[in-house]
Amino acid sequence: MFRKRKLAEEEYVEETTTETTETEESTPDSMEQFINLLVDMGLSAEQAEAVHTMAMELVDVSGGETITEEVKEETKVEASRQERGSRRSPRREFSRRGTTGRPSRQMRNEEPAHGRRAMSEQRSERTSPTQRLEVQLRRQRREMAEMRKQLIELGAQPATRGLNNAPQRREVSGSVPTPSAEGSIQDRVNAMLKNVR
Amino acid sequence: MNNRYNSLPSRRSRRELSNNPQGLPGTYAGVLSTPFIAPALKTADTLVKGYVRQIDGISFKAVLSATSIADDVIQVGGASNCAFDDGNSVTLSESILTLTDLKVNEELCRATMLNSWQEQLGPRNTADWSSPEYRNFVMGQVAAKTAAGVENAIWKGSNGVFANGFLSSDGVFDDDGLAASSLANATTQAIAAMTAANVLQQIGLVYNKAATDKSAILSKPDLKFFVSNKTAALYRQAIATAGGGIAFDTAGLASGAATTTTGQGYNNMVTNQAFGALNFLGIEIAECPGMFDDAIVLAQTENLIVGSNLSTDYTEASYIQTYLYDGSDNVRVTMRFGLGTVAGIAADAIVGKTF
Repeated sequence: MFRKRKLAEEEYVEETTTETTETEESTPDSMEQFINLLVDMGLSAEQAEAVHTMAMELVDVSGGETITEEVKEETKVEASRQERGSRRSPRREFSRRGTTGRPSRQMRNEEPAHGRRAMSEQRSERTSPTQRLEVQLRRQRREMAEMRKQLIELGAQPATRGLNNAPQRREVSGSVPTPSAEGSIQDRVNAMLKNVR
Repeated sequence: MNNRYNSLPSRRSRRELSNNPQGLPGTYAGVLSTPFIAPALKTADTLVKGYVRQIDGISFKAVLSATSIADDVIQVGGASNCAFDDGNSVTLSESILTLTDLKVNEELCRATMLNSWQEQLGPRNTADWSSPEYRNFVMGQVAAKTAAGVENAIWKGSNGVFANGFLSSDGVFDDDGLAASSLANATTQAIAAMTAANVLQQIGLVYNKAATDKSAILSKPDLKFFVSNKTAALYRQAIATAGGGIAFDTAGLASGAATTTTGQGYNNMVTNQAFGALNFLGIEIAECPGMFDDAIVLAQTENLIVGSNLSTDYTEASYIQTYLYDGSDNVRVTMRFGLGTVAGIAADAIVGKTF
């Protein structure tokens, strides 16, 4: 059992080292080669050096981003491992895994029991009115898009102009409303305010 | 098991009180205030009937330019007449319309307005205190009152509030008021206080002044007589009984005095008729409730200009539900807008005055 645990630790170390070497490989190290190549292409040595410096800066910037992502991924993997580890006792964990370190098929049947709980939690979240409405809205949008495609195929082009969700506001931003000259002042005022929301 | 509790409100909705007071969004600025400010600024008779020229969207001042060309631009041509006239035959005059900032700050009691509100709704309709309909009703009451004030202000001015009326700066039609008004430089004509018996003569005096001093304006299509409701009523009476002769009684024969008898009136229908648009020798008579009673203005629509800052960022209207905050039963209505008048070419307007 002790041997197995050690094996797992070795595996873990191995994974980390591979990732590190990958990061190192991604940075270019042959400065001279690069400069020579540029000189061969017709640039002067100074120009070639300047280009190399710029290229290195660019590589540094992009390389930094890649590394951050990798680190994030690594952390995520580690976090999930820790989570898994905390849920199961080490003994159970090792009994699940064979010599290869993968869970056996029999043991994999345990997972749905745990997953089922998560699923039911997710479902209860989803059944909240807002989420249900969101799902409906997404479905309706998809349907509308499909219908629009069909209509375009038939020659009609609906919604070439965006729909106005606040027609009153749009009217307001235009010209000043013209009141009717009929009736008393109060009648005119009432007529103008009748449809104001 | 869960089904048992389905009919119960969720934890969140249990926390929400059903009688929570709901406030309306109450402040409208710039173009969003137009629906509330426009009824106040645009529904006055003089404005809604298009008797004067209206310019909206002025932020503070507007410069109105008018070009006048002397009649002698045509010269004798032919040999040795190759020179140009000087530039004095074309003159450019400017008049500046300056807005006066005005405001309405009214507090109204809901209970006082309730009866009118319910009356307007009808028996089967219900609307909440905090509904947009009730807000529109309250704003409408204030806007209508404001519109009546605008009608008076543009003709009479108002002491300390609006010194920019067409005929006065302080609400009084006298020398001082006229001298500080928009028509301070207008051509004037003395008239008598008007009655049904002499109204035709007084309007005739103003017409005659135009014929003798400003005959060019008589051919303009937008020329109008501007009179008050009272003067218009006197004019209707006069034309309904016009066409009479001169009657001499015994005393009259002896003394030579004569009295005018009533005739068959316009269309020979005496008073049994409805007068549509009033005219005097082909010139429209515009009935403006804001005009002074013993005053007559003869001017073109284009020459009398009313400006406002409608459709700018400077207008604002608020409906404040104070009852939500201070335990009173009040709502407050505020309006901020600018108003101004100017005469394009004041001398082309003729003002009949009794002083």
